[in-house]
Amino acid sequence: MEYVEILRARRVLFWFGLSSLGCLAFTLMGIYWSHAHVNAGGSSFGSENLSSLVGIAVFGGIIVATALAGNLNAEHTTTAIIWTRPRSREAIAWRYVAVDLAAILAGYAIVLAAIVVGVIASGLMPHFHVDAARSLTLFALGMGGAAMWYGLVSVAAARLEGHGARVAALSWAVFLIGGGVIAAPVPDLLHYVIVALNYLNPLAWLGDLSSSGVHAGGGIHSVLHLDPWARALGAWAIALVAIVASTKLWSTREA
Amino acid sequence: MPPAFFSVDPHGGAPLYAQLTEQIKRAVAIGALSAGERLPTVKGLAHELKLNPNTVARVYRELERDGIIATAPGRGSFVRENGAVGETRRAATDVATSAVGDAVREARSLGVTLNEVRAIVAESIARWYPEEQK
Amino acid sequence: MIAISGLTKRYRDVLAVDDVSLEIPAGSICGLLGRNGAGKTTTFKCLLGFARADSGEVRFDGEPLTPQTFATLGYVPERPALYGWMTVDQHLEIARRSQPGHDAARAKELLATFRLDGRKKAARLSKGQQTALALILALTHHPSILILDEPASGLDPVMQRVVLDILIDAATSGATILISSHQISQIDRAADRVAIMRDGKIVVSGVLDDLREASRVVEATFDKIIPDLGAMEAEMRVERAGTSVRAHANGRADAVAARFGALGATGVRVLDRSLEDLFLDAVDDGENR
Repeated sequence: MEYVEILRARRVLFWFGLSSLGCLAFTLMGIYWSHAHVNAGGSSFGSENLSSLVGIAVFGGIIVATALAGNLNAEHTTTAIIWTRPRSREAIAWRYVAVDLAAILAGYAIVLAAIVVGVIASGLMPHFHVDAARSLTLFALGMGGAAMWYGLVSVAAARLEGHGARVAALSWAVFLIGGGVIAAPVPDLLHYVIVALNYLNPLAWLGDLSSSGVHAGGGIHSVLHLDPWARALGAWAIALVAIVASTKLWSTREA
Repeated sequence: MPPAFFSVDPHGGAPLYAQLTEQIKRAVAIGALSAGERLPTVKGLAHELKLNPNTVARVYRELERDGIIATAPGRGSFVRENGAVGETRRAATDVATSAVGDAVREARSLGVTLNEVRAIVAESIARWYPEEQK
Repeated sequence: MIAISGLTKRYRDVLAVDDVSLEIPAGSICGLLGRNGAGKTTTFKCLLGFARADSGEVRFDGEPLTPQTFATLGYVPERPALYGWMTVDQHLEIARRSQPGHDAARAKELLATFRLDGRKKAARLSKGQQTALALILALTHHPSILILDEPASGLDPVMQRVVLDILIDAATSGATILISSHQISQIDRAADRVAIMRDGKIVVSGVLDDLREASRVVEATFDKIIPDLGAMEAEMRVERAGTSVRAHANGRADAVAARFGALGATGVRVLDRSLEDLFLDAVDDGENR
């Protein structure tokens, strides 16, 4: 049954890969046309840790996650097919989740590959050094954040038949703005509510994604003053709870 | 090729098994189905008439009970050889009785008098049994 | 075999399915009839576990519903549930991967029968072709239980015949078939049983030929006055109009006709009831008379 989801994921990854390639080509063209600029900017770069790019690539995973998170929900129009297989509904749901997580990983990898190719092709590689341990940490955290995003959208959409895509789109606005209003001057009580809600914001868990202050989510400061491994674990824990809840809600709904 | 043409009319109202039973009896009576002849299978006849196989099976059960056909497991249903003549005669009489009965009942409903009915029947006999008139 | 007993489903304060009991033996085709909103589709949803019944029990070939039931069950929904962006062949691929009993040769044969192009996307199929695809998906694993909700909608008369053939063949091979349809003329040949629903309840059910037999009415006309009908009045429902009497003969139409003759009726007619008549009688609430 996950065959349908494999087809969907393949389609999403195809278009996502194609647009990533387009962005890469566009960037490289820009760099070649304004060669002088790269050289001038190069000096201000200093020595950058390549793992910060591992952190940034998480957006590839998140985009794919939001593109796929509503799919189980979208099956409400095909109940007659998906719920008439000799397989338990939970098993069907978990197979969908497995396909989606693999696709999220692929989306992550596509962006990372595009960035690395871009860095090498534009001759900026000498300015970077690789820190394997930190890259691994950021990778675990990044996938955790993407999985958490996926899980939260899935669970929010689980009973909203036919609105999975809308919930996914809305999640971007909620998480981006939700992170931003932390700093807003609001009454204390409201501030605490916002802070509390931010524990459900994947961007807050991703937080500081690089050693040099590159912030995920356009400058959202993490409310969590934990080290990256702890945040990775936390994000994965929330992701797991959300995914379990969404599969339960989906397989016990009435059609 | 089927040994005879059958057709049932679900809108005619009479139970479909009754319609088909009567038609097969009639086919036996007029010799369209002769003794020893094999009837279509339940499946085949159901398929051909677009009729539920249970309905066809019921027809065959009734015909078997009435001694018109015999069913040998694995070989299908046949018009009975043994006593087929007597059964055939009875089948013919059954069909005729019911047809004449309907006609007379209808005549009475229409207000046709007894004498008129007698005259009509006599006329019909004269037409269809000309050899008896001499 | 499908055995339903005491099935009840309530949505808020509406009893969508009200104490429905129905037994369909193997090899039988049961037509489930009823006006729109009578509860047919909800009944199907409860049978298949799409909706949770409030009470009652359903058994397929003696077993309660489990995911494994679907290895031998085929279902055609009221509106074809297909993936518009997927091709016909890809739909069959779903069946191939998820149904252990999938028969690829049968699938191919059915595609040819319904003249479906495997490479066409489901969204580009006509309504009838979508119905055909939904039927094919329900049939490729040779199910012993078939549940069909309006399976002929959008099909042309030739294809409707084909569907009937398929159902009759399946029943001959011992399948149990429950089918709802508004096209009574389709059902009254193929079905040997009917159940008629009204307001969530089954108001009439049984072997179709028996129902037809039982519903025959004998109409007798007398000369001037209707004589004393004696025991007949106690045995069956008798209606009078002028010098005519209608007796609901409860399956003994011929005997009743003879009795009227003996009572001196000047005219006796046996009125046969078609399934359509039975249906209209059962669902009529007096408004349309």
